Amino acid sequence: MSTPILIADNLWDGDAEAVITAWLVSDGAEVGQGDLVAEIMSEKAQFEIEAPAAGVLKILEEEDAVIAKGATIGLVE
Amino acid sequence: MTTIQRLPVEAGLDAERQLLDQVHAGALDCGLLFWRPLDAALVMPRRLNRLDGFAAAQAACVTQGWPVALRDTGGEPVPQSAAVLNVALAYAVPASDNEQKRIETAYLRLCEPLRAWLRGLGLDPGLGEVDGAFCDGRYNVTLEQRKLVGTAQRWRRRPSDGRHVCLAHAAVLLENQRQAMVEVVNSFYAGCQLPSRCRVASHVALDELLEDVWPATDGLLDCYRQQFQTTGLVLSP
Repeated sequence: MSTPILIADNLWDGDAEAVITAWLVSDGAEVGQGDLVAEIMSEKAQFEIEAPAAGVLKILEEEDAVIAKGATIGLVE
Repeated sequence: MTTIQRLPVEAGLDAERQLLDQVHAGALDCGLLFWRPLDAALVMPRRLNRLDGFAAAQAACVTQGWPVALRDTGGEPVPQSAAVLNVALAYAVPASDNEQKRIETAYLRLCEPLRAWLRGLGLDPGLGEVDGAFCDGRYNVTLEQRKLVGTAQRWRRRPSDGRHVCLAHAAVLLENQRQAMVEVVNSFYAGCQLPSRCRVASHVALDELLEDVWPATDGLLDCYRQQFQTTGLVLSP
């Protein structure tokens, strides 16, 4: 079973897109629930993204990818 | 009276992180920090160290007297020196805030007291993008259509109550060091094989329009206190 790392619909203002500025954990690494795993940026505002569950991180969207609200950027398996 | 801490750039960035950590931990709901660098550095988001040519560009900045420091907020490279006043505002988002305007609201909470302070000094500040400015954005505070203040933010969620917490940061150019600042930013971009994009004329320093700029900051804290009273934020001492 895997848990998606979803970008919440209310994370930033309006319909703007954001950029994944960093993955702070490597693909395939173990993460704990609530660990800081990624950072994304919109309007010069940097958002911290946490692991929604404990498990192994699978990255679906690489650094510098442009994403919209609701996107799944990774999985915790 | 506004108390401005004098700190090395790295210590100032650490102080901002600690302010956000305190709000995140629930130790306070709203805090404000004013600091002025003791040294000079070219401060940029951590992601820029992935750029091709970063190491060479970083070395070139060091030889110009602007070592590179990495920050946690978004944006592009910004020179920091004793010419700059930094304002860091951290708070837990009140439940009454419109969640679809959180970024804008945070920028306005940071910028409107700065604009009120400048109006009190007899100036006419604007808000908006400035073509050719370093670290340009929609929430620059401007004078005469030139950039005086740059802004950025960092956000995280507080696990104890699910509230979002925000660090909003402003860098105010009080003393005229525009030439050297734009040169080092363009030098960094050139070292990374990126076009030089910044112009000296896109910036303005407060001491080009006013005398005795540092004593003039005395009234700034009161401008924040007055605004917070109307927006429901309670500033911790």
